[in-house]
Amino acid sequence: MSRVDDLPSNTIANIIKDLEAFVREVKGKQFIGLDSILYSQNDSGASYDWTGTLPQSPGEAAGIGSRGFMIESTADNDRYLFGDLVHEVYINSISPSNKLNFDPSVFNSFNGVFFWDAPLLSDNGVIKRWIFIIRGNTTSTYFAKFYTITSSPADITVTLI
Amino acid sequence: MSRVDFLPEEELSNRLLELRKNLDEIKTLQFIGSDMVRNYLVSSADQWDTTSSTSGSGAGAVAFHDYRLTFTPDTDNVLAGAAYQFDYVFDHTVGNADVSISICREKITSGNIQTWLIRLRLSFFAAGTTTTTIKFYLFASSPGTISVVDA
Repeated sequence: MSRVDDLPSNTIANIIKDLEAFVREVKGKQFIGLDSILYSQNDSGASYDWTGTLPQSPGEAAGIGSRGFMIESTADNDRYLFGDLVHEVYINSISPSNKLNFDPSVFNSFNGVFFWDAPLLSDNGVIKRWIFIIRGNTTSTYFAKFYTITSSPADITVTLI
Repeated sequence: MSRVDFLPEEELSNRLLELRKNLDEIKTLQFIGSDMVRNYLVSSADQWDTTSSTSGSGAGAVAFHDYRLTFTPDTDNVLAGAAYQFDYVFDHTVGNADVSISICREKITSGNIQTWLIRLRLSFFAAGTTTTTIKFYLFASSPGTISVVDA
């Protein structure tokens, strides 16, 4: 004799039926969006990721410099990382008026930045990469700080190329 | 005579085991994706978001016009309402300048409000004025509003 035997049988049947319906609803398709999806803004933690002068740009007039970077963002736990690169590059000192703009025609102009998505590493989608170029003169000091805005928390590394 | 009496013991046991398995799965990590993620196309109600007229003195002249687009998701949660993709269509009067548009995302400094810097570059091949109109779209995990101002 158990407690189940004491329960009215119809009650047991109804409990099981309700539980099955509840679990079906919880496990069934539920749309995700709005507050349920969080993203991350990542940075290295340093005030700026690189500072220095630009080396002479090969084959160009004396005094024109450029510097290339590989920026990688690696997801802590994701199958595929979506993300955008955010840059803050300054000339001479860190102030809004000294900020360099993105310029797709930077090689025809001066004091600008340009970047593009780099290929994935062996289909490893947890690492997103960008190639980033600063172009300017060889005498000024430049400051570069990078952030990534990604679909999950991610590390960021900046490498000179 | 009740409904339980009609249930073979084996079936009753299987249903309870299935329930327990499902509950265990619900309590463990589940990946979300595919058609379960609902995304939204966000745009303003206006036909065009920006219209600007820029003059060039002649061939070789270059001019810029900068805008800042702000996306405010319909959620108060910090770092919720991600915008995944930025898109636009534009039109300009043909005749005296080539127009290129570059878009850079900016650092998030306030809650979940996301901004982009948009730069028009007009490369003139003849003197005159070029009028450029642009319409912006965002694909995001939340509906929201966008606004565009000169930067």
